[in-house]
Amino acid sequence: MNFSELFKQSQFHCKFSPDGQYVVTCVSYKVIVRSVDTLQILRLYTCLDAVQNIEWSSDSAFLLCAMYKRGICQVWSVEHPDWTCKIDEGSAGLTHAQWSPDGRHVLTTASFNLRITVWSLVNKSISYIRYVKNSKDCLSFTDNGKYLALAESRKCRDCVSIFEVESWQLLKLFETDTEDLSGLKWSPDGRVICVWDHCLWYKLLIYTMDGRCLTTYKAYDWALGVKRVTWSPTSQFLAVGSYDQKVRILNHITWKSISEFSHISNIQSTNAVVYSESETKPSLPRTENTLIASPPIFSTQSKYEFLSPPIQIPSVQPDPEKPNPKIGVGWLEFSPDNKFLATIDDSMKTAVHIWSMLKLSLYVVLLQASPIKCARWDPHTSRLALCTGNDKLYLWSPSGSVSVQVPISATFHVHSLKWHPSAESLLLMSKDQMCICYLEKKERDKEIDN
Amino acid sequence: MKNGEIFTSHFRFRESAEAGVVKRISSFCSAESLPHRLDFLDQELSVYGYPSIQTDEKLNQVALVNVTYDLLQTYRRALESHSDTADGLRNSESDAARFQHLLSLAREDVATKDRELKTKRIEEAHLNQRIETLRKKLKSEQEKCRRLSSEMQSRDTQFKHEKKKKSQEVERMQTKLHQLLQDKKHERLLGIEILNSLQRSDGKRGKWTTDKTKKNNEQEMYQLILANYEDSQKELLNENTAMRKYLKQMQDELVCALNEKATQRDMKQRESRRLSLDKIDIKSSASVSSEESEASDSVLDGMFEMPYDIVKDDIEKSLKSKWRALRRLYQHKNLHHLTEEDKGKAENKSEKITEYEKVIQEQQDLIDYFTAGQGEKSSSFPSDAYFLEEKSDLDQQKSIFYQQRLAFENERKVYTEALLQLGQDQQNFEEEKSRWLQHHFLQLTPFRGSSSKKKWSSPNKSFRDKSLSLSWNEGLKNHSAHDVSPSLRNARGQADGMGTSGGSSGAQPLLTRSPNKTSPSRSPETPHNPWNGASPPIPSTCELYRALGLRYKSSDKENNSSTSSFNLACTPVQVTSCIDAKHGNTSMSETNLQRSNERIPRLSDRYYVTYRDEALARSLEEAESSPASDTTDTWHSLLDSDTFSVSKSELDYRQRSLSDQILVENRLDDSHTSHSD
Repeated sequence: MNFSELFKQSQFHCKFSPDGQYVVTCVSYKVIVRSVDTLQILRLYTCLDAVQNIEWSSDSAFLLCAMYKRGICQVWSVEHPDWTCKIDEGSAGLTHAQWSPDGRHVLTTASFNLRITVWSLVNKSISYIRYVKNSKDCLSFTDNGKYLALAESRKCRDCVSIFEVESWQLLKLFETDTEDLSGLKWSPDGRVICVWDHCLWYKLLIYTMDGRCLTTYKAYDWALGVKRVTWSPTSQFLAVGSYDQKVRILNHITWKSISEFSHISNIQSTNAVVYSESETKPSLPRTENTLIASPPIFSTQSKYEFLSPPIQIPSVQPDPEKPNPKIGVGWLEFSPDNKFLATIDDSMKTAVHIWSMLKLSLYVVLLQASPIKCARWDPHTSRLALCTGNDKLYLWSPSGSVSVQVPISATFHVHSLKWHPSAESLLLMSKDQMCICYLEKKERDKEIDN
Repeated sequence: MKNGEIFTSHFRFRESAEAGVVKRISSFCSAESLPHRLDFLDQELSVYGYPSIQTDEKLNQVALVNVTYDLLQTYRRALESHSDTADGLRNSESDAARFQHLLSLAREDVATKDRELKTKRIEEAHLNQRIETLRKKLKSEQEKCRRLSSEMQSRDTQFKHEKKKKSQEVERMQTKLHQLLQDKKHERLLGIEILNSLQRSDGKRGKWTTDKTKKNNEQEMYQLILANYEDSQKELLNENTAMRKYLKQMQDELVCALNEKATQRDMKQRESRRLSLDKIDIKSSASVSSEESEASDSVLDGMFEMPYDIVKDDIEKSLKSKWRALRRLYQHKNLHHLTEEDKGKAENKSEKITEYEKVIQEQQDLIDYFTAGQGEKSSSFPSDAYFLEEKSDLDQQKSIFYQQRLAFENERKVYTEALLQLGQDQQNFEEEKSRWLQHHFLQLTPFRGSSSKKKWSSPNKSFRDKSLSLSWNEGLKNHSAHDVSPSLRNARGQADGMGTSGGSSGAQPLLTRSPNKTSPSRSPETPHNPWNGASPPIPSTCELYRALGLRYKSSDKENNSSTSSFNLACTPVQVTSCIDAKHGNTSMSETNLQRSNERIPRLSDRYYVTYRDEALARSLEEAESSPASDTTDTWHSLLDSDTFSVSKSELDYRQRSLSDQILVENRLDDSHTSHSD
């Protein structure tokens, strides 16, 4: 495991290009494109203002930099550094900007969700999509990038419109049976759209592209409902995390719940393995050895220990007075091989629950010393990387769990991380710095590569 | 009536009042008024159904004596019945008292129950109140809940309405804003500044968007949907076929397993037949195998390719039967296996047990050997010291034992003396009794004795009985016919007397005398003994036995029979009883005395002797059955028991047995001490 040197970045705007060749970092208004292998600066662009969002086009040829304050976007070409493009949303304001999957269109959302403007970089044409509910969860492209599903609110009725991306033609518009639609998501195979209601109403609906409702799922009434929804990579499972600290797994044939994963702070099950991070503060180095002592003074040692049940996971009860209570499953993701589901309950931020999808039971609990800031699955295998805002990187795989100290600097606290598409390296970000961690290739992987 | 008065007054006299009585009696009749009185008496007697005592205006002495005797008898009967009734009355009184007591108890019980009931009621009321309050609470809570939910609903609808209004507003504003922006845009033209347009990512040129392309797009979408459906159907089909295949495979495996078992069983059967073993097993196995064959009939392969809803039942049935067969086989095998295993285990265990027993035996032998060897080899100081404590203990116990023995001996001496005294007393008593009996016997037999012959001048008892019975019948008739003034009462009294005499024959009359009072030396208590005023009163058998503290069983029976015969003998009971009822104030002690005297003629020595024999036998048995019992206990029992006055021989026997026991104990002690030494 090797680590690159540290580079400056701002606001976690660092991204690997989809093809894995480049890594882009933003430092205020400067956009730097580096080669992943050499980390040499390939391109350097200067934007009009501090970049607030940066996004690679799907073909890794263009970069979209959004400056919401100014209401403008700038597009840069990696191949042609002289090529410029500026998109000005004008007085409508800009709240969100993103690529269309074809990499030739930019979708910008005006403030107050007034409209989504589709800017074509091919023929400078502009299309408006109106009545958008919101641009983050209510806009979903199919994985093949051919269709766009968009949640709209027309005459106070929730609708879903299906667009053909190539021509931006509205193919289908159908009403949904929701009170206040708050999100939709295409299944990875693009066959169905999952639509869920506002958290005030636990309601989840599955629609086909032509607007037929396949099922309506309702776990309970009155209490706060769906918090987050995730499709499994094979579209066979739909995991629904809700405010009742449970994840419900729906199957793709009958659309019925096949399992409920409860996130209880008291683990009694003896089947689950519990890794607990134990930190040991280093003893003050003796005066003679200060020069020889290699480990940094301020860093703490940590290691994983096995705990035997019953185990009490520290949990914070949310304040009932405040809105958006910090409880319920707020993050959940399937491993790429569809074998595991990792979840984090917002009231138990220090623990990651990893559920086995083969046995439909709790498999592993990673109990960290501090709240988890970011967790990401390896894009190829069931390997989970997570960080907790300290100088360590934690990795879990079915064979075990390790914590790795980032050796570069004791003050580099990992707050966010991103996997390289090939899963060979990890992009680690602190609040203002980044580095790349190169993982050693496994023998098996090498063989496969050969 | 006067006659009755006389009779009753007769018994009112006490010893001191003898002179008065004589005076009273003499006042009734004087030499001058004798014929009048005789007439009067005759009349009176005839009223009571007696034959005339006068023959040819002359006093028939014999008749008078007879009549008097009969009257006396009747009177005695009456008294007896009276005492019986009195007893009954007392019994019933005591019963009544008991019942009263019970009643009071029951009343108390009722009161407590009532109290309990009240408390329970109060509790219940309390609980009811609580329930009521809880119910009210529940109701209020429910009401609250309902209200809240309705409130929530109304708020929800209100909220929705407001939201709708707001969103409408937002929409309107958005459209207006959009229009405004669009107007502006037109002024500023496009908001996109691009150096040069890009090529499409696929390198193709853009197409014109026409209706055709639109239609094409739609078509494409539907095609995609269709393709998706087809794909999913294919997936399902694949899954289905895989399932079917697996089902078939499972069946094949099942059949295979069952067939294996069957063949094994067949082999076994053949063997068993060859050995011509038990037929039952063959039968059972045959039945099982038939079942198996049924179970092992495999469903045709094609069946699995049929639509499932058609063949579902068949497949399920066949598979179920197979599973059942397999399970049975498995269980059978398991059982077999287990039993064999158990046998092996049991054998192992028994072997081990014998082994351990051997070891224990050896150890025991060794211990014995060593201890014995020590005793033999070294009777010296250390071994002695070893048993020092035990020795001292033993000495202590011995001393205690000797003390106890001494105490026993003392007690024995005292008791023997007491018994000797007793025996002497008894002997005296016996002698006296025999003397008395002799005397009495001589007096009692009027028919045979020379003295009686003087009194009973015409001894024709049979005639007298006949006449009595006749007169009794006549009397009865008279009662029914004439309705004499006391007749009703008489009848009732008669019935009562009969009833009590018949019913309470088992009831023992109270006895106030102590045993030593019965001793003949102080006998003359009843001066008005009709038989012999001078002779001492003879205690009845039952009295005697009771006084001696013996059981009075056989003699009781005898007494019963005797009383019954007595009843028959003396017929005019009802008259005397009637008189008795009229007077009715004879004291209990008197009646008791009378009764004790009445029993005299039935006393016979025989019962006493037999009883003594019985008691002796009993005591013998006791002595035999309890030779090992505590000597003091036996002594006490001897003293306390009812057989205080047992014969001397018995006492001797007891003493002997006791001394034997003590001897045996001594011997035992000696042996014990020697052993401990």
